[in-house]
Amino acid sequence: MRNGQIIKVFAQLRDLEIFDAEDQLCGIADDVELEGAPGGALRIAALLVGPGAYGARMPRILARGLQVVAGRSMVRVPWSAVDHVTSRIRLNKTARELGLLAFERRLQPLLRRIPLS
Amino acid sequence: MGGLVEILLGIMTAVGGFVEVSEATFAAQAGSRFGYSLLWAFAVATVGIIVFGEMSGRVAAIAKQPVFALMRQRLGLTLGLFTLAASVVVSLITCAAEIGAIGLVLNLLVGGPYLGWAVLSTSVLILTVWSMPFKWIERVFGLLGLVMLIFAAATLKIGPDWSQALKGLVPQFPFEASRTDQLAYGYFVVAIFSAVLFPFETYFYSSGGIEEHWSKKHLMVNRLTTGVGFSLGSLLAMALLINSAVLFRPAGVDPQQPGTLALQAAIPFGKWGLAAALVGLLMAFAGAAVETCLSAAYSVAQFFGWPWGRYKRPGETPRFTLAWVGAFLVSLMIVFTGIEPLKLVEWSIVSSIMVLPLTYLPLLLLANDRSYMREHANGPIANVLGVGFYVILLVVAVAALPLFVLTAGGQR
Amino acid sequence: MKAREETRGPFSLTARRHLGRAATSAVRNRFGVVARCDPLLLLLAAAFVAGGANATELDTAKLAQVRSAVAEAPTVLRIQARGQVTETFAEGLRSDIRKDLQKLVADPEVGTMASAALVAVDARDEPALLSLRDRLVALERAHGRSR
Repeated sequence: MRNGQIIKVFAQLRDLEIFDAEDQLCGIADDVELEGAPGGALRIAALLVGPGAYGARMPRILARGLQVVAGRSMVRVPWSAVDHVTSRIRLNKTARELGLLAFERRLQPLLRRIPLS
Repeated sequence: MGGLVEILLGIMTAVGGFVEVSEATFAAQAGSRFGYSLLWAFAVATVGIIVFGEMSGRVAAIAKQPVFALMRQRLGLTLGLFTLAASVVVSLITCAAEIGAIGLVLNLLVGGPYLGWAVLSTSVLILTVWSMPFKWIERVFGLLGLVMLIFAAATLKIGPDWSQALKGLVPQFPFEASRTDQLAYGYFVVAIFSAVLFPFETYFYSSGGIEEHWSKKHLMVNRLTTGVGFSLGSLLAMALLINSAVLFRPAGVDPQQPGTLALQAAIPFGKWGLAAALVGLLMAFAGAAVETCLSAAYSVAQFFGWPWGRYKRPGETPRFTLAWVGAFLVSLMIVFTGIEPLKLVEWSIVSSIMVLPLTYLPLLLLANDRSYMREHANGPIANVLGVGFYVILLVVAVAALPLFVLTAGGQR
Repeated sequence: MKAREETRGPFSLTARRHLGRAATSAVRNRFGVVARCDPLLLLLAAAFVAGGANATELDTAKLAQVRSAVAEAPTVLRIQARGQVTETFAEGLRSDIRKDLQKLVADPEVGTMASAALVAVDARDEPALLSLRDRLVALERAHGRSR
């Protein structure tokens, strides 16, 4: 997506892979936050990433089961951090700056103790 | 020259990696029960896997989209999650069947306890996948699986009635047979389609395309790997069927264990044929165990957007690494429940075919989407074949469970 | 599906009327078998009478499992005798065959047949196994399963 391009927010933005400024896969756009009042213009405020975001999109019982396993964490990626959208969402910041892949960063030191990792 | 080597290696890898325990078992049982008359099912199903395999490789190369990332986008979150859960369960059951079969083959090759071999082989597979980059994983198991060509050599040595075998390539149905046989025949058609079109094949293949950073210039490799590689691999599966029709059918043997298949090479070639057959089966099953396990991990990681890929070190993709290690361990636990590999094969076959329409629909939709695929979107031939096979899959998926129940998994 | 009629046993004329042409020839064959006096065959016939096996209700899946195991055993014996396989492989296959038959020994429908088969496998009696296989194939045909 470039300036002036029209996209369908829920068909062409939600559920796309997100790649950061270092071309690292850092999540999926699990939901989209909009801002604006009824009757006025709506703007995309942020992308929401994490089980806390997609839990709201599924039947409650399924969401509860998933959150027992995956938790309720959610990261809010401000729309200003999005550089462009094609078949993927490209960010202009790194995952670390935005708080994405926190789980990976916690696990990496543990796994790196194992040889050949 | 480098391109030609890559194409040849891709084809050989596809041939060696085509047959796994479900295909091998059902090919042999189909031959022993119905002679050559189910060869057409392999031929038709192979065209299907070529069509969808090529599509998944093309989507990976052009849209850079792995199959399960498409799942959420095209099916929506809830239906996508259901498909994910079903696919992961099928992959784990299939992986367990492969690991169990490896244990059985090693027991026949060198003796020793079957469960002990299952534990040892799982450990070796985990170590192999941990330490090798993707290209090596795919190539090593695929090329070692070429030892299975001993079964094709056995076919030539045995010398079947080729005119009768060729007639088996014509789609047919035993209208004159008893109801019992007709139902069983129908079940075998379903089982063969399911075994050849296993969804993990496309998950693994398309994820592999992204692992290897495929682009537009790999489209020819993709076409040749799927077209030539899968076709030759299918001939190997057909060889198992033909050998069974010649050797087992007159004797009244229905191969119930993977080890019985090795008799197909032992009878014409003696001990060295037996050794080659057992080693070939071992490599084929090991390769399939790795594919199914990685497919389960790819599916979960791609669906939830975790960093994934064996082209990265395990420490760089912690959740993906835990997913595939966990998949191996869960599969081993399934083996330890004592359920026989053949029973696991039956369950994986019937559950897989029911998931197939959900798996291939997003692929068909995206392969037609010009906003992603541009000039590489499906042409008329790909669409006719894709939609045609999709309709066949729907029919087969609906018939699978009733036929499974009515025929007791093809045993009646 | 065949009508599941109650019959008075495999030699009953009622069975002959209701089981259809394939079963009729099997009933005739079964009379022929009893006339022969092969001990294993007598054991098989006894299994039918004693077990009260109703010809219309026999599970062809279990029958096929017994038949396949019985058919595989002489094949293994033959190639082992010719030195075409290793001892480890032959004993492994024989052990698998025994396990498959052992699982069916307690079955009310095919248990006696499985026991007779086990005896023949342990005795490495190739002629008895082949004979048992032929009888089982005939029984399968009587139940609509070709081969």
